[in-house]
Amino acid sequence: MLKVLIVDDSSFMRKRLKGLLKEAGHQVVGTARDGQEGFEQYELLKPDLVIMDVTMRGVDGIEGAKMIKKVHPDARIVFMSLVKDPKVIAEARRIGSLDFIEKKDHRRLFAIMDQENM
Amino acid sequence: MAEFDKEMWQDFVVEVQENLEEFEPNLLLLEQQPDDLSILNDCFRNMHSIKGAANYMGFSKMAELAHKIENLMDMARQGETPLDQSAFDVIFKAVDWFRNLLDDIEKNHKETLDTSGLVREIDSLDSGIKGDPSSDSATVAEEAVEVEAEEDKELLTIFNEEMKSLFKQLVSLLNTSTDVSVDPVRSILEDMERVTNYMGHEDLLSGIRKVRTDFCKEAGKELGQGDAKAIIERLREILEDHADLDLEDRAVGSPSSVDFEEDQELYEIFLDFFKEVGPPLSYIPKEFQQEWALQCQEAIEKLKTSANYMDYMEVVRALEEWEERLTEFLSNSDNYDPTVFKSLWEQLIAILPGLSERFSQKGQEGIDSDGLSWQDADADADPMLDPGDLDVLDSAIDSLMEGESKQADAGQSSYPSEDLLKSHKGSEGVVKTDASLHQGEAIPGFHETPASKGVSSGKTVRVNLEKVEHLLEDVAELVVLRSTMAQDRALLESLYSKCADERILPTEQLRLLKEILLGFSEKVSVLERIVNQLQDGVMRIRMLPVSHLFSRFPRMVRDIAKKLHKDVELVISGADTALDKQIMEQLVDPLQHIIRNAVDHGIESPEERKRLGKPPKGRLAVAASQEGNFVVISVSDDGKGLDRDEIVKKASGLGLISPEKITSLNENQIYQLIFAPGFSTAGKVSDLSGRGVGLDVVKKNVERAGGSVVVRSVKGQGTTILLRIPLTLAIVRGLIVKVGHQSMVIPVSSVFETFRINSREISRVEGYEIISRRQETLPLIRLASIFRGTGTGRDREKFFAVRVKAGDTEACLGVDALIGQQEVVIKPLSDYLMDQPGFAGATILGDGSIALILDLNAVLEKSKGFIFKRQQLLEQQALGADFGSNQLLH
Repeated sequence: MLKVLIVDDSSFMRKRLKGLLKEAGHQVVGTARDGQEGFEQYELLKPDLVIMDVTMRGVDGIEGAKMIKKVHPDARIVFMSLVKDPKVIAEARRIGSLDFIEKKDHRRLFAIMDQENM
Repeated sequence: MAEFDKEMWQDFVVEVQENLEEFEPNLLLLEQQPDDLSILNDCFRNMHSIKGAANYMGFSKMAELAHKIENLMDMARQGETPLDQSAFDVIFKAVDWFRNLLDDIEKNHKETLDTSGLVREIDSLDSGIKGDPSSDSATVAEEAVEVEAEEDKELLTIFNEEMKSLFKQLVSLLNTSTDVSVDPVRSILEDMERVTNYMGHEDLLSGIRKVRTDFCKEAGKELGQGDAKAIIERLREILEDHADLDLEDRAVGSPSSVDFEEDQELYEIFLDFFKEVGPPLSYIPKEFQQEWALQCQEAIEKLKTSANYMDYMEVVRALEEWEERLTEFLSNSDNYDPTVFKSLWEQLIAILPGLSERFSQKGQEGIDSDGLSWQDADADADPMLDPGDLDVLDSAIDSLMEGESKQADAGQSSYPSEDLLKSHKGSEGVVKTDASLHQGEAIPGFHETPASKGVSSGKTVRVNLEKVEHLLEDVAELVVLRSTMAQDRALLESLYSKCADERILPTEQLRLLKEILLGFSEKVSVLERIVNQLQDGVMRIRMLPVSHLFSRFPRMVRDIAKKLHKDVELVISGADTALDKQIMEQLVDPLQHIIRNAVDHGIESPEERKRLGKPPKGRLAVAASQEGNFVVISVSDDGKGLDRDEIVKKASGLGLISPEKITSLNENQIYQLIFAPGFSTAGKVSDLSGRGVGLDVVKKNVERAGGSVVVRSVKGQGTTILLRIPLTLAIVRGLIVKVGHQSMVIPVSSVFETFRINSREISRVEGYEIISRRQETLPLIRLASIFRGTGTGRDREKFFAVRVKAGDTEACLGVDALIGQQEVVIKPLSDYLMDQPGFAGATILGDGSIALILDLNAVLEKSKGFIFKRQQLLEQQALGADFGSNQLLH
């Protein structure tokens, strides 16, 4: 079981993901609507894993991940986004995120989570 | 389970609507200031969210539209292709299409509308999606596939089919038996390689080859269970990473269904459902058990319906076979052979990946155990129902919490926020905050309502209204109970004082009685307080900021003004005023009508306005504010105002007033005539307003919502229409009166005074009874004579009068007794009772009896005829004529 923080500005996506993770036996310890809030929640909750959207109102996911990584270099962050811009993806990798996967690709997400769980 | 699905759908609708509600006003703003990056970014994000949600649900048309508009926004913000007027027109159109698609999907559960026309329109804008390097959507990938598919569609289809079927074979092979020899696996993998090689997919080929070499080195050996899983996982990954190969869930051996992309979640739900009802199937007894067979039949019935719905035909077939076999053995249990069912069960497990995991703990053991296990599993499955319910509760709590923070937000937003101003820099003087509006300043440009910024950022009540209604009904019962208990307390009190006064009881018992009384009234007080809070809270849930109502106006005004070549700025204020949702819905049409009228008939053309020395841009202000238990919504324009003479001419032409009455009417009364049926001030009928569905309908609708309409106008300067609407419909404070044996409720808000009346004080004018009260002459309406069947008034000589006012009409209602004031919960009456005008609903009183709630407008309608006469009488009086000489009035 992993303690997960979901950062996404869409309540629809948050809810779907939350349900999915719960069902898979993980614990969603918090949700946030933008990078800033994500960072604050991270400080507070110290989750095992952050699932981060990119395009968000306010501080975007890339910035949010940077903020987290700066203070917690070993934070584990997975981006889930529809963005396909190679520049953004490269940036996400450069930050040291675990992966950059498509929103619907839950299988890959779970594969990563299983790995992280071990 | 269908419930859960529905909830996902509702979430989706909310998500799209929320984004649209934010998008549309922002788009209007953007049209005014196309260079504003922050608005552009917001618009981009809205489309991005819609795309994400639509993609998730598998609604490709909606996702495509959102994607294309997102691209337009993206290119505009990169400075590549700024949005021009035609782009705005198309995007506005697209907003409507999103709504159409939502309706479409809601009705048909899929996208049946043809969006290709709109897509072409977007593409034909110079800034089509071509050459957009940062394009970022799945739809683009899909398009790529489409192009390729056209090149050699047939071949690709064959390849896909082949790969799918091979993969499926492999999965079922690996799933069904535990100890699999590597040879068949290897041969399937080799087949895959051959097919792939033929298509020339190098990367795919090497991936599959690697799997083969990793796992199938030694011929004749058996694969471990872990290996089997790993092979499937790796292959799945490889195949799905391959853009051309749309394996998705179909290939995983899940039922041979069509339209399966969006259904991963549905599939999971089906499995859960299987786990819930399916345990009898997983337990296969060694000896035939009648009860087991019946349980199975029941489960199969349920599963078949569900599988049919999901289009899992293989599952249906397997279940049908199971059913057949059961019937066979039911008629002849001697032939019972458990292996038949075991193999059928294994078949099901093979068809439905993920199923075996769900039955792994309990179900499998059950095969050899004592026959109770499937019932255990059943009990175990029960909690499966709960997460859904919990989710609902969760979201209810969420929205309550969000509601609170929303209030906080709304509170903040009524002060000038620096952020807000900053975020629209370069537009100072165009967008101002609410506070300045309250001061009555004229603000040019569209005012941004709090709805478009703070409030709608995910802060919606996400509870099905039905649930709130149920809650409200329960609270209503509590309210009744509270009244009953208050009455009990009064009874108890009088009993006590009787006992105390007359010394019926010995001191000791009297003290005991007193203690009981004190304890009881304390509890009643607590109950009262809690019920009050509860009632208040539930009513609040039903209330939404009127921004929900107002948010559609900017777009509407834009469209109408454009069509009529008028220049209109809309100023909205007080959009955070809360109003009952149901009432709000009833106000949609009336307000739209009023606004349409204002733009169409009120505000002049720019040329005309210039000629009149007015600024060319007309101003339309829509404002809401709370006044006590009412919300006042005003719509004011600075147009030409109402033409008194025109109205009089028209009204007399229509026979609404007789010429001799005209002089007796003051300005306001004349203006009220525009609400008369069939009245329309427009000289000509345009296609926007003045279609005969007139302001009378507006008035009727507003009155149905318990409100009233007032019009004020100054010729040449503008018109204001004021709607006064009760905060909530469901609970009113009522004055309970008795008419004969019937209790009736008069809304206290309309009651002016009550007094005792003696028949000597009543005069008669033309069959109407009138009374004088504080130098005013008022009609007297005896409720007993209007509503027959209540029993005659007990005392025709002495009774009570309740002076009421509804709209502009005032009258005294004659009743037999006044009972008291009480909050009553309005329950709607059945339709056949509503045909009888006069009652707005019914309620249950504290003593459990039923009281009818008066619809004052309808009751006073009956005295309307008299009102004009009274007016004339007063005129006559003013002229010194004899009060009683009514023969002159014919």
